Amino acid sequence: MNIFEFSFLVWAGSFAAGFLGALTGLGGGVVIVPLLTSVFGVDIRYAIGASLISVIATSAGSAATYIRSGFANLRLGMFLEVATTLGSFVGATLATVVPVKALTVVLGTVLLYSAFFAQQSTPKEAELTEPGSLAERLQLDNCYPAPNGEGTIAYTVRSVPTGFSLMAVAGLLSGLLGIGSGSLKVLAMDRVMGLPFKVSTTTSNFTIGVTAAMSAGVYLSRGYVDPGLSMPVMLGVLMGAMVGARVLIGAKPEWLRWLFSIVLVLLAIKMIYNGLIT
Amino acid sequence: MMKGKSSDQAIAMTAANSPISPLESSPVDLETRKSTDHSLEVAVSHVLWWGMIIASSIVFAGGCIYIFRHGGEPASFRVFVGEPRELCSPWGAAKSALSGHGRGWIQVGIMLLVATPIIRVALSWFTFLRRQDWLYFAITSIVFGGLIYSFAGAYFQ
Repeated sequence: MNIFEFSFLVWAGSFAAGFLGALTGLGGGVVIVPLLTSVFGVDIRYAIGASLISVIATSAGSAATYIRSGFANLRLGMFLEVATTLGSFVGATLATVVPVKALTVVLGTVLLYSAFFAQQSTPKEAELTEPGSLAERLQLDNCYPAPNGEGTIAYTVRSVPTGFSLMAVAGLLSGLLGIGSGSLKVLAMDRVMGLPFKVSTTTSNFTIGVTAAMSAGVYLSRGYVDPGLSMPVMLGVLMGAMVGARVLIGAKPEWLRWLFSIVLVLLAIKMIYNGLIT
Repeated sequence: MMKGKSSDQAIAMTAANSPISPLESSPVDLETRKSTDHSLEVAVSHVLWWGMIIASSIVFAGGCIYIFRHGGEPASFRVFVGEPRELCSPWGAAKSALSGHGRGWIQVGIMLLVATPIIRVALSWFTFLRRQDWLYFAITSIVFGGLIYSFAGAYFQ
């Protein structure tokens, strides 16, 4: 396969990943590494570098639009970035010493979790809990535009320490595997901190770019980011995500989510098999 | 609703709170905070959007040069060898780009893309400093400091 054919096929695969990622709300990053390693036979270290770059691009593009919609909570995002960037730096440093086989098994496990996560999305309305003193002191409580377009709905943030710790784990996985860890971040904000679904997805997206940029510094200086590979991956995921966001705003057909989960499970089995047996 | 509150009131609130330590001061009410944060949100949104557009345009242009020149060569990413030193730092990538290499241009675009969220953090850091919002100045300082530390390795080698 020559460079032209290779770049085109990688671009097409990344486009599909970005498209499905945007439709299911999981982000395309999680499938890029297994796609590149299993289907295209790329070394996992190059794959992680390229995936990380595509994650930064998609996060910047979508966060730019989300922030203006008024859903993303900037202060909460900036506060949680302390945890995610710290985790991300540790993860990227670990990735340079952890054996490639172990990385493959960890990635397989994360893929299985994401497949499970894709099956249970329960958008819920804001709930007003007892204002936690920590959230109040950190000025994390906020409000978001009401669905009917009239006024705003206030919400409070709970379980700040637990959410903060989970975000550090999400950052660690992001740095270790070159993924956005969107599913884990949403879990931390949506389920643990009790944020409205739209607030947690948009705020999670906002923090992904900075988290990935932190580990990108380590990967760039170690020579993991190859321009020839990163170019089609980044452009493909970015365009796929943009088209995906535009095609179906809000509507997430059930069968697409199933398709994405099945792809994730197959890739996960392949990764774990490769890591343990071969 | 957010824009309805005038910014005079917002400034008055911040000015009144500034001499007190942020941990002791009574929390600024939600409405006021929303309206003062709104201008930062707009600025951040612009930085992210244009950073992404400019970076991906450079990557695309570099990709065209790269494929035009090397499209027929065999692709090999099977074995990890690491990038040549010049493509690991911004200065090296810029030098490679200026001598007309497609791979150098792509790498310049990528470095610019990575810089985008960092510029976003720097912008928020500066905004909180100017507004004397010491709590968030401290929070963004940690993140900003970490990013600088992480990149010191890449930039000065």
